[in-house]
Amino acid sequence: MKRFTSLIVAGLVGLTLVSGTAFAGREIKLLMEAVPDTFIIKDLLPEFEKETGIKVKFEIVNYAQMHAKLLPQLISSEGSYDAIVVDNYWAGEFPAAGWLVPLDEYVEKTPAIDISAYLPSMLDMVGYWRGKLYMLPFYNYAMSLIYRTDMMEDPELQAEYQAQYGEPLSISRSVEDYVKLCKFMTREYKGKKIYGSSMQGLKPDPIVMEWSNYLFSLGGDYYNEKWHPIINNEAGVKAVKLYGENIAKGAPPGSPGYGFDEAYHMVAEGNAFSYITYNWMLPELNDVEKSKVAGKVDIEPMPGGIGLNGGWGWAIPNSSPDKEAAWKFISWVESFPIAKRRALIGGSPTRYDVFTSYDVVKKYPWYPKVMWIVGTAKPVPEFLYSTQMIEVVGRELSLAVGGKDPQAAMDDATKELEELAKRAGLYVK
Amino acid sequence: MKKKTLDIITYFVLTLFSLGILLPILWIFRTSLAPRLISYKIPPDWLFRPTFSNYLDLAEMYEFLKYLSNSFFIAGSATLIIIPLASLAAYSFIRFRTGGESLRWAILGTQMLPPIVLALPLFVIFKYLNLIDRHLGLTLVYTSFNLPLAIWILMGFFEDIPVELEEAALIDGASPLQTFARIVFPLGAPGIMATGILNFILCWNEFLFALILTGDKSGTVPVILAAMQTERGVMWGVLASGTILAIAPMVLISFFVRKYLVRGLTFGALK
Amino acid sequence: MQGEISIQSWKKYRRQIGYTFITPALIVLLSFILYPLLFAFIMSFSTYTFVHPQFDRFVGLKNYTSSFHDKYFWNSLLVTFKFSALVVPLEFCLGLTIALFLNREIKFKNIFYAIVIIPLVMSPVAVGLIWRMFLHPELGIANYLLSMIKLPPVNWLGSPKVAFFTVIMVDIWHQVSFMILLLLSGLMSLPKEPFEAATVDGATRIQQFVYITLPLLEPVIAVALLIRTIFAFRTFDLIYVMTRGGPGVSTDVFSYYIYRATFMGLNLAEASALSYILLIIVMVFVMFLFRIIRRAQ
Repeated sequence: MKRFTSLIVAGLVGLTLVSGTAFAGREIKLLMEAVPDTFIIKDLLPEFEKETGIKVKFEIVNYAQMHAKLLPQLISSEGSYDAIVVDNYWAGEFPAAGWLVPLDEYVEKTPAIDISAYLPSMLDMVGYWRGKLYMLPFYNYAMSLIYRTDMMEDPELQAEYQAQYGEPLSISRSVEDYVKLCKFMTREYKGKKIYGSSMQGLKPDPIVMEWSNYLFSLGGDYYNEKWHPIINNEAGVKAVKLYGENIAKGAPPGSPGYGFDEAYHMVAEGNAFSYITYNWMLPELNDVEKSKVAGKVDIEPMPGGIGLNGGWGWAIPNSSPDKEAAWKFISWVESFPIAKRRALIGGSPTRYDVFTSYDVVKKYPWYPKVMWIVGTAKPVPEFLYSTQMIEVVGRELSLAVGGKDPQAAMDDATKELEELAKRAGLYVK
Repeated sequence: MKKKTLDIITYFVLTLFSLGILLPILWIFRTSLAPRLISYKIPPDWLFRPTFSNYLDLAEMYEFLKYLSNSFFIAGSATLIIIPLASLAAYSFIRFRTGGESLRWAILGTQMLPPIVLALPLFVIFKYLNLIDRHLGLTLVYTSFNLPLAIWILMGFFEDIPVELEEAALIDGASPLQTFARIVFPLGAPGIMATGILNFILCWNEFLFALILTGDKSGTVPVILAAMQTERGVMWGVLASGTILAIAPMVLISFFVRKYLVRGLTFGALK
Repeated sequence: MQGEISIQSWKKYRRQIGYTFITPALIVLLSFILYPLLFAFIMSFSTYTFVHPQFDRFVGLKNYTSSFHDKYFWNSLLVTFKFSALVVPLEFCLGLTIALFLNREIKFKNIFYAIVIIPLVMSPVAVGLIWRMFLHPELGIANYLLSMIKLPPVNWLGSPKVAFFTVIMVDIWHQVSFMILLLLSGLMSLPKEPFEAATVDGATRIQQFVYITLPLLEPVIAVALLIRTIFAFRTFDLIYVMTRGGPGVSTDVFSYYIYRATFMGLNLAEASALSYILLIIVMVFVMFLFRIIRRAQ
């Protein structure tokens, strides 16, 4: 009997050892973008390998090229990547095309992953699609307003504004007020030529991203619930008019061609009063080694209250060669301790337990404000042809900035947007 | 016009042209050594303390040396394969009128298609042959896709070679292959050199197929340089240093190439 | 009998040699190019898309004609034509000038040669990005230098009209070396005798250029123009990096139109049809051009 028991015990111990090393020697590959969060995780990878035996390789490409590189991979039966990150522009495309593995069951059997910890706005954007979970939110880039505190607090400017407009100089809470403020702030200030807003008129992504903030904060939208395009309604056209006015009178002359990089440098060099941009630009602009306005900028929600939401989510493609190991990695990198460490090193959080954790708030005191911004932010519509929609709208916006009539531009966009909704099978009569 | 005057004009024009190329390059070089705060400053800081951190980041974080050597290997191999194949084919078109007009234009037609839609079928073939992310794969693709170009360029050069020399060799009893090797090849040396260089450069700079068909093992320089344009802005420091590192070996090689070119010509003149 | 070969068998022999010489090249070509070309060709008549990667339905010429009602289709063809029509001649003239000068007996040839090569070995992505930095309207070195000589700043990439010429300028900076390389090699392989004889006869440099250099160089010139034209029609990387086809649609070249159809419209079938449309246009144009050049001989 004793021998039998010891056999059982030996068997159980052996089984535990084997299951512990069940993943040993496996290797997984992920396709990532060259943003700081990727490098933050890359530094933590040796710990993951030690814990599970799985070796993780990151392949890094540029965002724009990632989509082109992924498409052939996703339609083949077995691709090169075990897990991928999905940008919110594609978060409607990939599940609709059937390229992602639903994660509900994986989440259920993994206690370390608590879905309720994620901000609902993030889960709506890079989490659920048609009621099924396909991604775990990895990274956010919700947009808001960053502005120069030194100029806002300057008593001379305050007096001048009061005299000119009969109201005190304050953070704009509506799009109209923001444009007014930007025009006012376009001036010579302390020997430097300052522009009210550093705008990004480059088509298609920068201009659509920036303009969406204007659109949403004026109460407009791309489509209604029936997937009829409403971009050419009163709010939409007003957004185009105000955007055009700001870029003509409150922004640098080269703005219609500014991409993200050009606009950023105008602010960092001290030539702009404000900038509608990703919330994590604040620490970048406050970094003495990277910016001349360090210590002189702060963050506020987009005037009008609704900023554009953006983000990435972890996902497992159907063509993944090793789905189990991929999930092991995702559940590790999104476990609370690792997510919190990533945030402390400088990553961009997506969950309220990290946003409100004591250590994180101590290091980044403005994070509760950011959490509010992310929580109220709204993404562009996510469907099969989101990227094409952005191309169309970007083109029309760029033409409008160049002189085309705003109503005509939005009408032209509406025609094509309607066709896209129909082609995706979403249009409801 | 006196020779001396013409010489002065020559030096003047060439220097002006060279400055037009060099000045931007020097600015890139400066950017590669500049801390981030300085790179965009206007008016620019002309004097600053240089830093090598960009080059270090390039090597460590971006594993640039791996991409650089991949590019060299792939472009070099493709060029070595293309030269003999294209020379023979070009000679065949010129001297033997093989396939008439239609074959040569059909071959050139393959160059007129934007490569975008060909990426997917190539991906499918590569998956089947297990050539994804293998050096051999991209080498073969570049060889195939640049072959028509190489053939046509060489056709242009071979046309000028006088037929009489070849006929003399044939009468002396040389086989067509020997004629080709002993007469045409040396006389066409500048053209062959030019074709080789151009082909190398085409492979060096090609982006789309490299993006779709390689991974982290066989990635090339254009792919990693493109990755430096991130959603957090362009990483100017590493981009500048990457560009400089990609240029430097080529400049050195071109010194060698010129020597060989001159030798090839004088050899040809000794006919 | 020795020495007696009939004309036919000599011709046949020559033809066989021709085929032998060309076979290695053809094998390589057929293996990797033919399949994708056929695949794309068949795709263009089907409903093959990334979302529906099947060859189950065929729709004739629908993919070819479906873009005809899109004004931006015609716009991008026009932009591509204008771009190529400007870039190729300009690069040719500048390239020939430099090549002629570089072909003379002067010192420092090695250095000039090395400098000329440099733009060619820069990836178009790097060239585009770096020029964007130079041409930043407010923070770029270009407008700063202009201001130093009291000239107003230029809105290089922000104004639709200017942006078109800006990309042409950058393309010339990048690609003129291609012409120089090719034309210089052509010049170097010209025989010396005709020139020596002409000098003895008292011909001026200009006369020598027009009556000896140009005719002898003609095959190389034709090929250089041909190839550069084909590539100019296919321009993509530079536009993508510098302007994304904007501002507005002022630099929207046809390759970018096809790129959008492929990766945003996810419609490979339509993109294939568009690619073949471009192929036909370029083929006709280029064959026509080639015959004109050769006939001027």
